[in-house]
Amino acid sequence: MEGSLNAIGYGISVIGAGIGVGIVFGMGMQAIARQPEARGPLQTNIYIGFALIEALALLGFVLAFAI
Amino acid sequence: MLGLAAEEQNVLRIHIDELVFGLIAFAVIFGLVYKYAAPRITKMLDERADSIEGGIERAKKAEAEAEEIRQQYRDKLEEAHREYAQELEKAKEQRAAIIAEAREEAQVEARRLVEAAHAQIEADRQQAMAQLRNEIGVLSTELATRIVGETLSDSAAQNRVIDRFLDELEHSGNNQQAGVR
Amino acid sequence: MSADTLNLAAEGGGGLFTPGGPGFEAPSVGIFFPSAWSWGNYGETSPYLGGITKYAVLLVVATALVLLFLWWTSRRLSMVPDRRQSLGEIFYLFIREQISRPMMGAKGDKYLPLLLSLFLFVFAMNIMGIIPFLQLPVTSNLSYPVGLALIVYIIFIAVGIKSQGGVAAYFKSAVVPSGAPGWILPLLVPIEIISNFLIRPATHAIRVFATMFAGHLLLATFAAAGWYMFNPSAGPLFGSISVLFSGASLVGFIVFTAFEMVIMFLQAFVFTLLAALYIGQAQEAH
Repeated sequence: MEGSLNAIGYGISVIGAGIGVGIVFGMGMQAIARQPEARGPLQTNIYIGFALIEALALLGFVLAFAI
Repeated sequence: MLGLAAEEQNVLRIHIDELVFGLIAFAVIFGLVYKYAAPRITKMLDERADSIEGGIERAKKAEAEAEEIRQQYRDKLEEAHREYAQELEKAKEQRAAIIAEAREEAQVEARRLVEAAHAQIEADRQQAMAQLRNEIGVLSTELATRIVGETLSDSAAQNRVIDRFLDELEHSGNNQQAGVR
Repeated sequence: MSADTLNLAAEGGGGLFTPGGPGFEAPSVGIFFPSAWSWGNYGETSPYLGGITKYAVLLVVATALVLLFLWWTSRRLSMVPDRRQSLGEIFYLFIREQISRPMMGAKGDKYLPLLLSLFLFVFAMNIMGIIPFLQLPVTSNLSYPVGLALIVYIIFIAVGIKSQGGVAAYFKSAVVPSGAPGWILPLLVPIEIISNFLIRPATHAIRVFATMFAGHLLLATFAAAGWYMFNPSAGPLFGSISVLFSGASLVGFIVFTAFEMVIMFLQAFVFTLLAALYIGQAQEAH
């Protein structure tokens, strides 16, 4: 069996980001459902939060290839 | 990570030539957007917003104008009604006045006619009296002539006699009438 | 590895159920290293001039696509838009209403051309990944997103310095969080420096690169698997099974292509959104 530990590391690092992205979008949907009129700003903030959390997964991705 | 280009198959490679190509391509796109597309689209959107706002404004203005004209018409109509009513009132007054005048005139005329008739009657009566007096005088003279047998040629004397006679006659008539009453 | 994959494809696939045939070779990162049409010996003398690769060609294609699109949609503009003009307006208004206005307010309108060209450029480079016969997202080469992220990086620092009135004032406002007690600053300031001036541009570039890279790898895997499993000559039973498997892989390929399209749009959107966010943050005083 061959492979790279880097890939496992990346998989582990993505767990957290996956949970985070799920929470962000779930909470975002809830917020929009509660206040549909605030959809515009909420959506923008959802994507910002998503991008920031995704950065963590991206760090894992970079390290998987760079190290 | 930078400068690893020489290394074979590093996914996180940054080739300076490719980076420069990318920047040039982006510069071209940005140039077109900045110089051509964005100003045109912005201008057009502004114009559209202006025209829509202008259209709304125009519609409002037209509405206000229509309202004003309607108000004017309403005023005019009201005025016409009022005038009509006034005219009607005036006509009624006039009619009443005319009727009154006509009645007045008619009364005056009637009075005049009555008076004229009275005057006529009086005149006729006088005339008749005078004629009667003459005729009675003639008749009496003739009768007296016949009876007395003498001709009263002197007309003055004749008249005097007749008058005297008539006065007597009147007196006796009056006395007779008073006596009758 | 890439050569092996290509050879396998050239041989006509059909490795499944072939006794002694080649095993399944999943697409590797080699597909992101197309060989260059090099001229002369520049590739050997200078490590940076590797010749014209597929990436460079697709970059030109994507740029031409954007330029054509821009020219075509804003050629004749009228008050009452036709479909062609509406298409251009949709992009413009999308950038303005979804990205520029929420992030920077009305004063950010002067960055609209930058954001619009960023979005269109990134989107065009991404979309190269699902155009038949091209099928290689330009952004899956880190060099291109890094260039764009570098532009945004320089612009937001310049905007910050200009609007905060001075280099020191800007870096102070960017690095020192307002309202933090003094004793925690030695901990916070390095974190802020790293996150604002190192992580931020790096993730900005890597985000779009990584998603395109992974997405393309996924699609390539589906395609290669479908091709590998397509072996109708392996007998009536095995042949039909292999065709069935191959069909499932094809369905997966199609579904994920559609999914990729959404991702490509989303990543272009996020890239532009973050650019607007960074510029907007630099613009306002903390």
